[in-house]
Amino acid sequence: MIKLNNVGKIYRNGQIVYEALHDVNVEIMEGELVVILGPSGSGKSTLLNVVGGLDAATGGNIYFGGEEITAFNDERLGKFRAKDVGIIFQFYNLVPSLTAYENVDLMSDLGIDIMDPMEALKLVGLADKKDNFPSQMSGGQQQRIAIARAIAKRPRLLLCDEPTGALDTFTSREVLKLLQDQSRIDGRTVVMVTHNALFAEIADKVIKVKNGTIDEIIINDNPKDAFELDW
Amino acid sequence: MSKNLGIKLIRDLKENMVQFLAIFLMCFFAMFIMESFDCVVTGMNNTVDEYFTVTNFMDMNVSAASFSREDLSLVQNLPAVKKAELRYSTNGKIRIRGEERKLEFNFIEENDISKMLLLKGIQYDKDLHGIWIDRYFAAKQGIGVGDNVSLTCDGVAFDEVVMGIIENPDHIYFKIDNTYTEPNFGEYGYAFLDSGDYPGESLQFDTIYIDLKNVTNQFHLTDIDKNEIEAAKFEIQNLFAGSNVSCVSKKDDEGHDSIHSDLESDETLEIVFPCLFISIALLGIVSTMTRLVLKQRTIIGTFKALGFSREVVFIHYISYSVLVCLLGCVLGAIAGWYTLGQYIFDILKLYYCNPFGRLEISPRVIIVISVVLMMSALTNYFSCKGILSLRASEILRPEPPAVAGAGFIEKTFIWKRLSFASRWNIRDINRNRVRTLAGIIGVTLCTALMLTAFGMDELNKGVPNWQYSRLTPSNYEIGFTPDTNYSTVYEYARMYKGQMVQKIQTDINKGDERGLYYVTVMDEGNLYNFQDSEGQFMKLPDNGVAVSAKVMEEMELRIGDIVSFKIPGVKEKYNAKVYSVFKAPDEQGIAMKRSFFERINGEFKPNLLFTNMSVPKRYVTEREEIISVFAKEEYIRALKLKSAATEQEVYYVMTIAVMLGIVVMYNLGILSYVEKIREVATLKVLGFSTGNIRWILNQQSIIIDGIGTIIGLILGKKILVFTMSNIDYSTDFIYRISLKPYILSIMISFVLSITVNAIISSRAKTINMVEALKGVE
Repeated sequence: MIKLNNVGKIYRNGQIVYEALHDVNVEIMEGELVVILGPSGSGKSTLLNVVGGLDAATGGNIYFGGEEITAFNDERLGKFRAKDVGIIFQFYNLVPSLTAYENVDLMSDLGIDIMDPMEALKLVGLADKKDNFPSQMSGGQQQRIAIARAIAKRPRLLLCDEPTGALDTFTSREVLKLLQDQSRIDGRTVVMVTHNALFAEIADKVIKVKNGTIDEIIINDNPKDAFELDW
Repeated sequence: MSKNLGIKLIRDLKENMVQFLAIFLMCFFAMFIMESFDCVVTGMNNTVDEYFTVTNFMDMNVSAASFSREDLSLVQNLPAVKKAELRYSTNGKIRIRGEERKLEFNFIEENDISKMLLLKGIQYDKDLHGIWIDRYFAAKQGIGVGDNVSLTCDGVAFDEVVMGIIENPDHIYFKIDNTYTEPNFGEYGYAFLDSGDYPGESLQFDTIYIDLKNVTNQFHLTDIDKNEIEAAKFEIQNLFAGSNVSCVSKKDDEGHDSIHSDLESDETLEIVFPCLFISIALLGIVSTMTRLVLKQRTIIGTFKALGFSREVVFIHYISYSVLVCLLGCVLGAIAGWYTLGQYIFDILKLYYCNPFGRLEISPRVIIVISVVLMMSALTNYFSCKGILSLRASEILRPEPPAVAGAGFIEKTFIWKRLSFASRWNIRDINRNRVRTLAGIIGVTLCTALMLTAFGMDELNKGVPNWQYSRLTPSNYEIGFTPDTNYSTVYEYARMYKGQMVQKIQTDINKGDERGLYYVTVMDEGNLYNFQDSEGQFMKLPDNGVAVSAKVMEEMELRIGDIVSFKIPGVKEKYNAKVYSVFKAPDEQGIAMKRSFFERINGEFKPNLLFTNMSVPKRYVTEREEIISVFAKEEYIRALKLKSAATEQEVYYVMTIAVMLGIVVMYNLGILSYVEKIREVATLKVLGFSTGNIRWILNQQSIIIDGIGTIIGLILGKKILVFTMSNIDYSTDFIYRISLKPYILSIMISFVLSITVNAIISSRAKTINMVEALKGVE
């Protein structure tokens, strides 16, 4: 479903040149739960960003469902994200002035057909919080609303950048379970970036990143259930 | 805009109430001031235009002791003349309920030029017998159509039936005689009758009303109109050369001139104050909206990451400012119309009779509102564009702090000697130059606005003292009829120990350049003085003339130039060299000594006498040669009455200026503080005391406010001089103001700004260090 050929990413800031990704070659299959693992500064978030079209690769090609997204212009990339990609951020990035329901319903403003926001909230177990503002919810609840927002548009690809980075153990497990279900039950491709090696146990595929290159790709034939993770 | 973004917009407006309220108020105040003046100026200009068009207001009138039908034919046969009419005007009396009132009688043969505008009753017809009376007089005295009124004209008593209630454009500004310093409608009146109803033995027409072929009826004359009028005036003066004939074009007509100069002064205020107010408002809008958009950087990044198109994000963020600015501008304009605008209009109604008078909106207001909306929309557009031009991943990263290299001071030895507070502030200013500049501009504009308003108030209030204590300090002024001979005036001068002055309005020429000004010829004495532009007393030259500064400027005269002028009824043209310049509050023109005037063969015919001795008011009615007797107090009272309206306008402007100043300074202060909040929290975490932190913050505001205030005072003085010199072409001032306006401006802008910043910096005491140092919104 997703194919990266010799993908590179170079940041330039005046005289300073920083190579965040170098010659990355990866393939991700439809419905897979992929965990991108690596220490801080390894390039894992950059890799996620270029796959989701949030950032542009400076070299190589990225294909999504046969289409080369590295050839997309800004507008086409926007449409791609709106239609095919659901994004979950480390700090949730909910709109503070909208309620839980409105944050999910916001996706309908993209002009795409989305599921009933209440249904999405039910899926993440927060239907009773529909009228709460982000500031009235815990971090875990906010992240679940963010997941509801991402899945409401039924994306083919779900990108998660350190989705449990700001959460406690119990809540992290709940969020991971939700994401795992997206892959297992709904057949969505889920790509998750984390620095927590433990999460590799729930993935179908683990991509280890080090210094901007792929260090190792591990296929996990028997991924654990998120609730089985031992913190 | 979609439903959820609309909801977000409304909630964001509520959440950032202080900033949006500030933007709303800035727009409100700016448009309040603009519309207040604009609706009056536009309404009056358009309706006077309408009035003059409907009534075919005269282009010119020629007056003399008498005109025959042959004279009329001569005028009518001039190529430039479309039509001419004879008229006789004289003051008489009307008896109402046993009491006599003054009434100006106008005997006409036709009603085609400066026509009566019939409001009630029957239209004028040559075959109809009766009287047409002005509406204000009729209303106040209870006169109606069909009433029989007892009249006295030229010593003959007669009765007439009231045929109609009318208004007439010649009487738009109407004082029945020189016993009045200002119009007092209804106390006296004017009336029109057919010449056939003249009660005396033989009617001598004293005026010819002229309608020119190529001159429009509009209030504001075009250059073509002015040239046509000047050419016709020249022809008519030639036609009656040698006779004592006075030719008044419509632009020199008292009513036309007065309303024109009043509207001109309002137009100047309409330009100066709104420009300042709008500049301040725009500065506030730009700085506030830029910061508000930047504050939503992460949300904008999220929108982009989620796939929202640029257009949707642009429209959403542009809607914030446009909505608030539109609301502020429209409500401000409405409030300005119904309060200050209505007030100014009501004041003008006391001076001018205009049956069509109303307030009107002009395209200027629409344009200015559009500019404000455009500016606010563009601010948000460019702020959003700057963010949206980045990749979504970049937007979602926290913005790096502003970077700036070492400034000039940092490379000098002074740097090491500076305290931490000073170094912190210098670096902060260096890194946030735009914010610092916005702060300085804000204080500069507010100070300039205050100084302009306070300075105007002082200059206006100083006019009576300047005019009647310094220039003409005499207690009484006697006016004589034009045909009073020298020996009669001289006798009065001896009797009242007075100073004789000849003052007449006539054309003054410099080559082909011509203007209607005053020529003043002074006899010996110290009751009529002159001052230069510095306010120093000066003597008139022995071998030439002194010219008022306003005329020097308008006619582009220089010392040494030759000016020429004529005295009405005298064939000779006098030439004189300009020797010096004087300042005059009104009645601009040239002045000379009697000795010089006689040396160039002029005949000194004084028509004014200034004296410190008490002169009985009854002279006006008892003595034929005297047309007016004014006590100084009367003039001062009239001047104060007239300037009361201007004062009120200035008070309005001052109040709004202060309110706007508070809003702008508080807003800029808050925005600046919010930007520094992380650094303040860091300093506090590091152990700096609240007092230390407050001193650091206050030191910067003192520097910014100090610089802004100094520049504001300089700018304010320049704006003041510009405003006052353009306020009215016949009015002038000595542009010296006391320390009071400066101190008041400093007090309000500098002290206010320091106070606002001190209040804001006091928040350092209660700052939530944990919240402030969090990296996310």
